[in-house]
Amino acid sequence: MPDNHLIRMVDVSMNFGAVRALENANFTVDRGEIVGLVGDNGAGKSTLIKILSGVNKPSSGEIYFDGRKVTIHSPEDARKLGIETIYQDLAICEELSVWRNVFLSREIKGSVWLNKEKMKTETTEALKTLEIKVPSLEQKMKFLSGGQRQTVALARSLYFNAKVLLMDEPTAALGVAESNALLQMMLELKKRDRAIVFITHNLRHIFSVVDRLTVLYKGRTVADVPKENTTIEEIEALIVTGNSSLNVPKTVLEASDGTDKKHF
Amino acid sequence: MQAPAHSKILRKVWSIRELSILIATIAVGFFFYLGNHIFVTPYNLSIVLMMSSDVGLVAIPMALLLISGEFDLSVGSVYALVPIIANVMYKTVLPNIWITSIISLLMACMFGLANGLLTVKVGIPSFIVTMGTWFFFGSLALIVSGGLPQGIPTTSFYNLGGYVTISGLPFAVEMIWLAGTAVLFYLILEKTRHGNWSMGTGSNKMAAIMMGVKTNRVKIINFMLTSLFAGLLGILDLSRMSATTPTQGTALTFEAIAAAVIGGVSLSGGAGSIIGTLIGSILLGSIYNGLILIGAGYYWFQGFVGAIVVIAAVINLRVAKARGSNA
Repeated sequence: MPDNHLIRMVDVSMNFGAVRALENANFTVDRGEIVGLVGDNGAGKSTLIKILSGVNKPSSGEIYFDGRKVTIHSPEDARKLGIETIYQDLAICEELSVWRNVFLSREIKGSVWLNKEKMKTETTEALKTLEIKVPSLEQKMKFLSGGQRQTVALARSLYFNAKVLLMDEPTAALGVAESNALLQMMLELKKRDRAIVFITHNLRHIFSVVDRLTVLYKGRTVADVPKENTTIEEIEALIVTGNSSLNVPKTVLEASDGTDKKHF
Repeated sequence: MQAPAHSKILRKVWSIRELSILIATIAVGFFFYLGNHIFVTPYNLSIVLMMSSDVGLVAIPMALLLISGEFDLSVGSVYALVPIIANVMYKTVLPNIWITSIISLLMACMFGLANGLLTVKVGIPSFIVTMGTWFFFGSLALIVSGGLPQGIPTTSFYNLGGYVTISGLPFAVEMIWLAGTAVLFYLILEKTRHGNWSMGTGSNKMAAIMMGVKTNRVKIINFMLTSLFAGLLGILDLSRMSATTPTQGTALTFEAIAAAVIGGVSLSGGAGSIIGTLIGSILLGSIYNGLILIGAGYYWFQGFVGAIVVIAAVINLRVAKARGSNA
């Protein structure tokens, strides 16, 4: 079967002891595309993201990257493929300065010692390409605003040439203006041919930027629809019930068959 | 809003992390100088630095361990046990004190490895792990030595940690060890990937893991370094005093942590300074020596240290705030 997807996850399941966090979930990401990944708490969004970013290993299922079957055992593996994760707060070392955060685990070394000057200049450059302003490169991250932290994380992933950005609730801690700035930045990244997986509970934010939406319900993929073919109301229904009374694509009906009955 | 010039300068001063503790150390030194002018003679200052080494050689690696987010309470017992192992081996099976010292230092690394593995692999908090090994190693020191101080029937390695005479003045070799250790750990923390990883690990372990930092390895290395240097200090003191006591080092653990905290190391990890820890160690050495010189004696020592730890914590909090609002 021809595979034009950048990422394709096939029948991925994940068990935590007796709990099935993901059950034969399917998920695809194309080049230069923003995909919204939505679902209620516990639907498996974060589990799926953690599998892609190498933090968790799936119990079963296959992952293809660029048409090639891959196994992602560690965050390092994910990054080597070009998958970068931007967590809301998790992936920031608050006590560390801006430039240390950008280069943590990928430090630039001279012949013996770390080349701090080079890392600082490179950080400045990376921030400049996204027109990001921080008070000082030596500033500890904990003294930056939520939006500034996100943008530093973005600059980091761009600097290291990420092909896919996984963004888990990137707007959750942001104010209105900062959220809008971040959404703009996501569109800008898309123009540069980066794919983005956007996870959020805020459907307004999702609908303003995504090309396609994938809905998870109790660990299963219950819908995968282009934005034009759906509405906020329909997505809401899918998130809450795993089913939709509106114009439902075929894949949705098939997948939601076994899951919606106990709700009615 | 324009801040008045003097408050700007004040904020600048606050923002240099090590400056406040340096000023405090000079002030304490001046206080002792007023009490007894002998305090600032070169000979006495070398004794102060020797006493500072007795804390600093452990406090400095401890600082790196604290920065990576872990404790080591067992250093006091390792400090007692390691020279006893070297000495007993020397007297019983291997009559070369240099070789037995090296073997016992390798064992110190293993003690650190045990602390590290129990903490990161088994997942017991390092506070509990190293409290346990503190008891355990302390007991081993008593068992191996038979509970008695151990004299060492050789002077062949006195120069390792004792005194040498340079142009008529006695000169404590431990000062060199302290300086060397400070430089080494300064370079590790500031100039190597391991230092950067230590900060990341201590600041936010999960984030560091997600960014690709091998946090377990970072912590284990730091546990081993801390244990190694606790053992090294034991060996140096064995050299200097030609004897070792199984119960020595009961106060060392907390003095070392105190010196690091005074020097601005965050107990919650992620931040700290080797230079600050060095100055903190010198401050403790000064207090120890100065109290004796002014006739107050050792009983006051812990009271002073306790007060200074709390004062330093307040100062460091202000420094942190100033650094935040400054840049």
